Amino acid sequence: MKKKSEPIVNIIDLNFYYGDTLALKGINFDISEKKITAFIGPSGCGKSTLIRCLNRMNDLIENVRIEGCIKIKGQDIYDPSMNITELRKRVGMVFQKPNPFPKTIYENVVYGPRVLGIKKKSLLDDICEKALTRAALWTEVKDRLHVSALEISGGQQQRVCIARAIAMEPEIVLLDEPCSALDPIATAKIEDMLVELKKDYTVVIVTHNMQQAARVSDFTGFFMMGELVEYDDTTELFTKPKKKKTEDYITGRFG
Amino acid sequence: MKTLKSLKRRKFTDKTAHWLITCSGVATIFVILALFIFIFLEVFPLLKGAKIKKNTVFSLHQGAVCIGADEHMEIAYAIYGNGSIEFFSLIDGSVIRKHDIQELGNSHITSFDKHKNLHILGTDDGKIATLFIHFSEVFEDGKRTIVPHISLQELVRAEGADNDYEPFAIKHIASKGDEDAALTAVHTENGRLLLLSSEIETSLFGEGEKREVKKDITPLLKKSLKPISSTSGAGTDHSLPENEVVITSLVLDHFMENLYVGANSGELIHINVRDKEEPVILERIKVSDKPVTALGFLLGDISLVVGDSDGNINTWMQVRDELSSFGWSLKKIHTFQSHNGPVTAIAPSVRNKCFVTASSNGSIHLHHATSERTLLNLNINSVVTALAFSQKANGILVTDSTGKLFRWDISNPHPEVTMKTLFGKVWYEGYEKPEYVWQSTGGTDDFEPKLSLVPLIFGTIKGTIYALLFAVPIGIFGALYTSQFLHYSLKIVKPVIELMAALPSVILGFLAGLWLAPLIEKILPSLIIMPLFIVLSIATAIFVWKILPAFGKGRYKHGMEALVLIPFIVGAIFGSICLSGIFETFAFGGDYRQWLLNVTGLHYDQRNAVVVGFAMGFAVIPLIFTISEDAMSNVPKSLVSASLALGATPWQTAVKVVLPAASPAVFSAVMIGFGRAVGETMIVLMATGNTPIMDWNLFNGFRALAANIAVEIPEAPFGGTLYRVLFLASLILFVTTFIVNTLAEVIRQKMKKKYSKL
Repeated sequence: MKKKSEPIVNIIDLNFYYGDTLALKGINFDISEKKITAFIGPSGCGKSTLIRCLNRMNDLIENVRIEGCIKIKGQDIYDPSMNITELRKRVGMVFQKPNPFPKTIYENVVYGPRVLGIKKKSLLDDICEKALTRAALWTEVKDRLHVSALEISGGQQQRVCIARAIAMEPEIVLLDEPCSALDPIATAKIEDMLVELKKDYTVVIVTHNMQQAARVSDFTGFFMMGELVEYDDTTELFTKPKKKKTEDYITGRFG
Repeated sequence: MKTLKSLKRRKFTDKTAHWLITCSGVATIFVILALFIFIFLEVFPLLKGAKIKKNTVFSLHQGAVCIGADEHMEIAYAIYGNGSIEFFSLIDGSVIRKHDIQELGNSHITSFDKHKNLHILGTDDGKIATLFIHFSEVFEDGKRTIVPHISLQELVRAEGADNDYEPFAIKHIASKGDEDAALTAVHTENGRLLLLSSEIETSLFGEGEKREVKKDITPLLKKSLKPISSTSGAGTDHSLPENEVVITSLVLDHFMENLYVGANSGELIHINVRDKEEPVILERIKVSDKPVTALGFLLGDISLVVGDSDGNINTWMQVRDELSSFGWSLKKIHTFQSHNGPVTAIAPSVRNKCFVTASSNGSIHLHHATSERTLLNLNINSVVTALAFSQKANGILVTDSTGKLFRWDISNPHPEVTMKTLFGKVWYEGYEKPEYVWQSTGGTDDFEPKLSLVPLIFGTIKGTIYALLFAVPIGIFGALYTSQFLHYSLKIVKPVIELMAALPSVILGFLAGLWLAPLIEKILPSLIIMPLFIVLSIATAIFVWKILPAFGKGRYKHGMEALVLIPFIVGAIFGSICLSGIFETFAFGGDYRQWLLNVTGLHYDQRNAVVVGFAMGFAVIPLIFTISEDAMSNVPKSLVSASLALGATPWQTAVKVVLPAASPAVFSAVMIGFGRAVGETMIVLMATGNTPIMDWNLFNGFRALAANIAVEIPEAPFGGTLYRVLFLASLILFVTTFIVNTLAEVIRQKMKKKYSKL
């Protein structure tokens, strides 16, 4: 059993509403620093909603309401004094479908630093190389940095998106089903990379793919119907699930 | 069985739809092509030059001194040197009537001048006869018969009634006049220049008294005048020879003011004869290195055609000149294709600025003065004795020394239109220098249409630019705000703005011309301070918002700031209008129009480019707004999310991600707006004053191509020059819009390709 490190995120009594529909019910758990935490569960269970709560991306949706609190390093991110753009710089996010900007690979990666106001070319070059290296893409694209990001393969595009997120040097990287649109080889590359990323970042990943969760994550949370059914060490959860629902799900009886 | 039937049906529907769509597409292309061809066919005759339709030769008894014809070119007359006149048919050449001027006796006609229907003949024994020739039309059984009339109006002696001395032959004569007054200048064989004037002075009691003055002005010619260097030899100070002036030609304008004398020395002498008792010599200028051989006025008696013995033909005109002692001086305006021999006769058209010149070696040229073109070159290979240009400017008559009469029927419907007159600077009569002028109609018969399209194209561009300056920022930023920031409960803004596009432009024009123009004139100073006030009020709003206690913001949601700002902006507008008077007193000394005139030298027109900018902007904003807003709303949410997730502010996201991704559509929106503004008619028609001036000044009006067509249509007779020029204007609009739209589409497709993989 892996040792739990210091928690970086505390989720306390979180309720989330889309209009009048309760999407997340009384969620309580902690996310450990520099570990990979996976959220699994059937479609519509609220796992994506939860991950989007962590960088307040849900604010973009009209007519949503949130109760309870989420603390990152002890700071309540739903406090009115919280600066959302500051928060998003600290909590990077990668989406389900690769969504590079219609710009060059280079411009995609340095988008965040540029937004921060970094203009020095040499510094941006460094950031780009570092981020692409971490995203395990540098060797593949170093000669094509000024090619449009829309012209590379889907797997590469997704890694550009990951590089783009980590170029901001965030504390936490959120990945919302990053491999759902990719083939197994691209998926394997990203999984390898995630394990590397763990050294420097806290990674939260939402996945449909239980094998993926089992392969890469340190901790896994199983969600169903907006509730956190079970949250435990990944090996523990997959080998000795404490709840019946978890067992049914991971053994493939439903879902 | 059933499946087969439905399959057949499906096939039929497919085929029908295929053909229907193909036909519609082809029909659209065909209609546009047909439109283009139709407009082009209407314009095409402008490009065609003069053409000889028919050339006929008749035989006369001898070479005539003077010839002419009726309006319809059916009957011609020839005056012979022995004083006999012949009327003959121009259809078969048969002589209709013969007339001898008995009173002339054995005198021989040596010179003549023509003014309207009057023919003033000078003889070899010093007599001056005034002949009146005119034609009347009689309609019998629906057939037109032309009847010629001739009468001798006056016969006088050039040098007094008493036979004190030998009579001298009249070598040259120039005469103008009517029933009330007449003036004749005569050059006699012994080198004298005489001025004969007669005037009927009506006293208070209604009794007319004829007053005659005869003045010998030969001494004037000998008077040395400060030499004036000619324009052709500018800079070289050649003093004029003091020797005797040998007169070679005379011409007098119908104002009976200016007498021009052509001399053997290549000089032109301008004598003002307004005061018949004391004529003064105004200018003596070298117009040619060779002797001047022929002089003639163009229609309107402003431009003077000068032909010399080398066959060169130029037109000269009085132009304002501060260096000249009397404020004007003769300037060479146009140069035409020269003859090979001396120019002997000049015949102007009474319709337009065309004129015919003939040389003694038999070459005859048809020119158009303003467009500086020689339209036709004819040749008869014998000595020309008389030349006439038909009244409708559609025929030329020439007699030669062997007694042949040549008749040319010409087609020359649009001599005044060339690329140069349409698009270049043209030196018109009465102007100080070549200029771009649009003035299609005038009050007098001798008015020359000035058809430069440049002021109109300029006006179109000016109106379009001012409208787009106003509409593009508002349209694009409005769309950006509405699509990216506005709270969804306020999205009603979009359909309301789209409704604006449905507003007929005549209403916008009406409002702009009758309500907005006077309003802007009244509150212009406040318009200047208004932007400052609005910015200040927004800053105030932000400040108030910041210090407002939190509970007051409870119901506030992002995207509702527009509602909060409205009272502040309205307040700023109201405030600036209230302070208009104070600001005007403070900044412009009480009257901004006077200030504008004093400081910048600009006149303020009530209907000006500002008004048009606003009004046409209102017509263009909905177009730009709607297309841009659609495109910006359709930028993939994933891109916006990606940018926001990277910590970009919504504003950074809008500018760095949304705007570039929507740029193809925004570009085409601006192009469509441009097309709309270029073709907009009613607003510019009603709100600009339609003055075809070329001035970027914000406070002047202008005239746009489209509005010009609407304004001038009632003035343009079918098939006329103006009619065709208006079609040319529409062709320019058509082609411009076509090119702009095509260009916009090509660029849009290219840009779209870049973003197509999103």
